[in-house]
Amino acid sequence: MSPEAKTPTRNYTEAQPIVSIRDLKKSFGDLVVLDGVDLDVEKGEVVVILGPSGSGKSTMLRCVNRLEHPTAGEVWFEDTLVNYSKTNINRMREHIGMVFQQFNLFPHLTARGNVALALRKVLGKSKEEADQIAVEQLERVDLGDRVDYYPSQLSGGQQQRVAIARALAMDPHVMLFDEVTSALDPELVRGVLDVMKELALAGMTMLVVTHEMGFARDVGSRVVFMDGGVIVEQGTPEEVFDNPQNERTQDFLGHIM
Amino acid sequence: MDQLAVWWEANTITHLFFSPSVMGEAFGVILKALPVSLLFGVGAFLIGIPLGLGLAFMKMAKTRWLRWPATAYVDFVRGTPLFLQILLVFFGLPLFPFYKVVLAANPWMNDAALFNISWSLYFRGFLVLSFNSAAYLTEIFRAGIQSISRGQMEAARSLGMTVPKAMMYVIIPQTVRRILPTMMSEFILLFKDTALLAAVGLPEIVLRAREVAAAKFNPSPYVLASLFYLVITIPLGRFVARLEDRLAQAEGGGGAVAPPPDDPLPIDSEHEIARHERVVDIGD
Repeated sequence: MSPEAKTPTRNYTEAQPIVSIRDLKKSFGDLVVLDGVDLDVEKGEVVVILGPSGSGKSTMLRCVNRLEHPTAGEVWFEDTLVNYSKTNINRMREHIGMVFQQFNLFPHLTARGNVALALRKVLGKSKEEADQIAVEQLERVDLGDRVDYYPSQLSGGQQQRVAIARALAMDPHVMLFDEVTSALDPELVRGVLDVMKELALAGMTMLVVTHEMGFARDVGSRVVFMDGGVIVEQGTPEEVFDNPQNERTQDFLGHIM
Repeated sequence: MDQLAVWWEANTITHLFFSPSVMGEAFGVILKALPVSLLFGVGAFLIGIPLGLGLAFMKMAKTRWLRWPATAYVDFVRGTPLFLQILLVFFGLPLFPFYKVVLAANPWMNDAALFNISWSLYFRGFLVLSFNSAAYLTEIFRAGIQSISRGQMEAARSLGMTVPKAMMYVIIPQTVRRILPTMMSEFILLFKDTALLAAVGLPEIVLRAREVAAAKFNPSPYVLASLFYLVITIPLGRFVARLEDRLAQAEGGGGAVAPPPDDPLPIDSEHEIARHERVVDIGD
């Protein structure tokens, strides 16, 4: 159960961090996955989260939209405490887009249907309006000629771009990317990263868990290195990549680069 | 030709089981009973679907106060003979004080309705068959829903859908496709089971066949009755098989794409653990 905070809302202006994580802890039974994480994400920032497998980076991301319930600590999104039992989590998730490693497209719907579904059933838009927005968003990810294709008829890279369009269509204030290129064949990674880069340039606030070091360096405004359920080191890409201070960061980057 | 007819009726086997004259007499009688069997089969199945879906959700609920009654009910129905359940409902229910009150207040329930069967018989017939079928459908639905990857629910929830909306627009449509063949097989079983209603005097195919057989001292009507069942069940069974093939092909793509085997993904241990949780457990 989430800890009951006394104040489930805070004053929020755009000058403040849009996402604030305070002493976040998460355990699965005896296994401690997050052991006290503090992180602030400013509006418009692209925060890239790096770290070895099992370091807790995906779990931290999933705590931001409460796909995982934190064991302790606080997660703030804009003016709302996310891990507060009375928070309207569905309303909040409308503003937090998420893209998954395994795409998770709805296989019984076309690309257009995938993007339009939540527009209609969550935001209550008409079929015509939802379809129109869906086509626009699919064009934005360069899939204007694939709107009527089912996920099974699309390549992995195309599927993942549909998933991005699906999240973008809700007009989110922040986007979460959970290892979105890890399940893709190498030649398909590029198209997805290009879309993400464009998104970053357009000013989207993004939290990106990835193993793509090139993307982290080029697009990230900040790089966060996690290990053992805590943030070990963070800084600009230059600071973390060119002059890592922590031994574990050095070790990890040494293995990967 | 006449010689063959004479021989046919003289031979014990052909006369007893394939007597043209007896079958000819039975045909019209059984044909009139076919809609009764179909009505109880189809009707009870259609009532059983929402009941089974409700029970399936109860079985997947977090609280044991929903889980336990559903489990007990399904165990009872699946663990006892349908014939016993029919006797229980047909002869037990009318002795129920509440049922007596209802019947006394609504005497029309004993009036004959369609096919000259009383409302009270319809009620009890549909009750026992649909509740029986619901128990079997419960397990089909539950297994079907839980076979949909957890990521589908997560994706739906991450877009702001409530659990009921995610179920309705994302999980159930995929489940239905996947379990359609199993559901149709369940219908075939139920349709055959309507024959047990003969024991409590419901004039369906078997009861009518037995009447003619008894009057003629000849079991040929039973053979004819079995043909009436086969006319329904065999084409349906073939259709199910073809449906299974088609769905198996369609499953080829769509949801989560399996990682290439020679390039294992770095799977975080926390994801592994999360995967074992129930699909409906996500969020709240």
